[in-house]
Amino acid sequence: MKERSGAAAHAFDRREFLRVTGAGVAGLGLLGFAGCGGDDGGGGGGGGGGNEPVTLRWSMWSGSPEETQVWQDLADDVKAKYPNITVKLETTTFQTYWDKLQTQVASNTQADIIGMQAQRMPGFAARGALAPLQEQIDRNPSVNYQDFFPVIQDALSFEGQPHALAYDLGPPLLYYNRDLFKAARIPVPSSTEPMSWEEFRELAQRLTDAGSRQYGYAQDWGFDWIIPWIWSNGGDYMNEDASASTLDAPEAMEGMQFLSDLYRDEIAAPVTDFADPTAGLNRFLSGRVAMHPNGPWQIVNLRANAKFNFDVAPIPAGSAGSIAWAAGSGFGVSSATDNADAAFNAISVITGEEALKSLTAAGRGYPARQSAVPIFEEERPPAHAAIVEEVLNSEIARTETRPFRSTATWQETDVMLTQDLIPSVFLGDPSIEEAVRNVKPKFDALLTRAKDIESRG
Amino acid sequence: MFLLPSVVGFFIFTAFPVVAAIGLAFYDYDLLFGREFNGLQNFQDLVKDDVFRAAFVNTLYFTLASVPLSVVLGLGAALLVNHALRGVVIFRTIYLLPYVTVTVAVALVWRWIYLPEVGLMNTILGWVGIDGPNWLTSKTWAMPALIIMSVWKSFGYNMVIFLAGLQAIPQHLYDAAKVDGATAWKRFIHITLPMLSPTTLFVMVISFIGSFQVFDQALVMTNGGPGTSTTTLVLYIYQAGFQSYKMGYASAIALVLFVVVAAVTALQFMLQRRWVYEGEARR
Repeated sequence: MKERSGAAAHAFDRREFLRVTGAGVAGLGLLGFAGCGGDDGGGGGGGGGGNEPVTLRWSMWSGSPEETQVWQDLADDVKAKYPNITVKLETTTFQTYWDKLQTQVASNTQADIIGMQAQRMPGFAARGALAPLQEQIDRNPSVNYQDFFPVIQDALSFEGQPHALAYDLGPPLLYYNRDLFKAARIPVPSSTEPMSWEEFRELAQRLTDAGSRQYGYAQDWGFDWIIPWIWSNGGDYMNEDASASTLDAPEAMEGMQFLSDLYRDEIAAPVTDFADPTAGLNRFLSGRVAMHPNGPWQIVNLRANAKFNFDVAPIPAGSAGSIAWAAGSGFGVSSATDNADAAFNAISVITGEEALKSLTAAGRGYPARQSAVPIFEEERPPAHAAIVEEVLNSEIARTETRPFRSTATWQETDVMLTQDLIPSVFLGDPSIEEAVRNVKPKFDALLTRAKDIESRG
Repeated sequence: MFLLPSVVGFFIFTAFPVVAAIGLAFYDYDLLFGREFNGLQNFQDLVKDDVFRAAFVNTLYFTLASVPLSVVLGLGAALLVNHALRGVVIFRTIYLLPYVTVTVAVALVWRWIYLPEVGLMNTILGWVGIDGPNWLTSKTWAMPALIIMSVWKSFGYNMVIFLAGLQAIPQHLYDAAKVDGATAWKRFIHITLPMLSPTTLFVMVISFIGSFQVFDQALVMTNGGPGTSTTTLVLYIYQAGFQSYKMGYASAIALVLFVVVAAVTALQFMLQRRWVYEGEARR
């Protein structure tokens, strides 16, 4: 059960491919089961949803039958708390989920409860597909909204309004392979103080042995993973009000150049696959890469699949600090639903404290509620699991976590950056300057289009 | 009457979407917002769009390289297995296997074959002293990698069609030529090729149309990258429609693709009079 809520998966990887068939069959089976469940009329109800029996559809992505079962259990929990609400779970794979959701919204056949990812939320919120939730949050103090990490509240808010309640979140962390450090007799990175870029580069250099195909570093090639290098160097990819791209500012270009140089100098493992968004992670999993940035949602995957000891540290600090984003996933209410109150009650159960504790115990990633964090920290490795909370709340010196900044045209922007910027960062061709010169007007045009969509929506 | 179900199906699932797609090409259609007529704006944007240009050139490159290779290899394989030898059926089956395998599955396997350090391709090249490239992340080699894989996958189908064509050539023509002292090469040039020309026309038309629609390989093996070096027209239609939500723009690209395919096919039929033998076939 690999968490895919972060930047992890745009296209599907090998493992997911193998799981697709199974998940589809299981999904169908569960739908049948839920459909037969029927409902036993109004019961305890309460909480503002009324007592009329209602059936809600819940669309969510899932990569395996086990994952689907975890969500199904939560659907059953909704029924236990609100006997008048029956939740029918509809799952599909992460990759197809977004195409399907878009088509459903266009044809007005979307589910009442919609699985949503922070990066993509503005695209749907700006087009009016997701209902704003502030009023319902105010009406239902039992939701205990302030328990959610503030940074994920922000990441799932659009124009100041929450549009989804989160179940998980994460900042990039620097994972490292303890065994490789031990073999090279190099002290492991500090988990309480981020190292500087210079220290990081030197460390990566010492851990690289290109002859035996061992590298100091590898990262996934998506733009999400380039952002921390830009931010940590004091730059950004768009200005304050998201009206123009700032990738051409020297801070942003230097940040990207620093990363690019790691690849040019073969301190980082070469990218061999631009179709696999988790290519860097797979390199790290192979045990031949010393350091790799990824979200806490990968810890479960690493526990299961890494044949080495690993731990986590804050990402390296550039001239402006160790600055990364937080993103995560949650559930929103369709603005087309006839049962907005019931749907809100359902998501308040699905993202409630009990639910997030059981999700965390089941390995679904890092909980979006601070009250569920102790469950996450119970298991080892990593020995320094506790730093995730400190990083998220920007409690470590020189470390800062900001909500992921995205727009109504983010998905398109990401495709454009993959085409026009990514090759120059990882292959050095063309130069960063040339790529940015090409990217800047396109980025600006997409931001203008996003503003246009927001004003129409 | 009995045709009714299929006629209705044709109109609902084929004719209507085709007509609708042509119409949508003249709209600004954000899938989640609704549409607005904008005349030729989409086409004016296409002309200025460097990704579209790249996709167009890439598709031409792919087609012009893969069609001849696939046709020649298909013909070669057909000649090889056109013998009444024992076990030849097995070879026919083996050559056809790639064609009947799902492209996505094949493409996933070829991703491993193309891995630079441990992949099969570079290992084999290493045996003959060639230091193979980083196939799928090289702007130069990513497209040839897709072409090689696609040719490998498609030539078996061409082989089957050619085989049927070969077996329809009357034996007496070869017998007569032998009596006249024609060499094997001359028999091939003067009997096999002309007699096979209607088959060749069919194979060419089908291959061209198939190549212009190349999509799965690019999506799975390179996702159109690095950069836009393997972004094909159909992949770009998908990106425009489902990742950028610009359905009208996607329809405009589809319309351009349709016009190109129609033009190339028409051209092939016009040129066929020059080289396709129709003698006995037409009676």
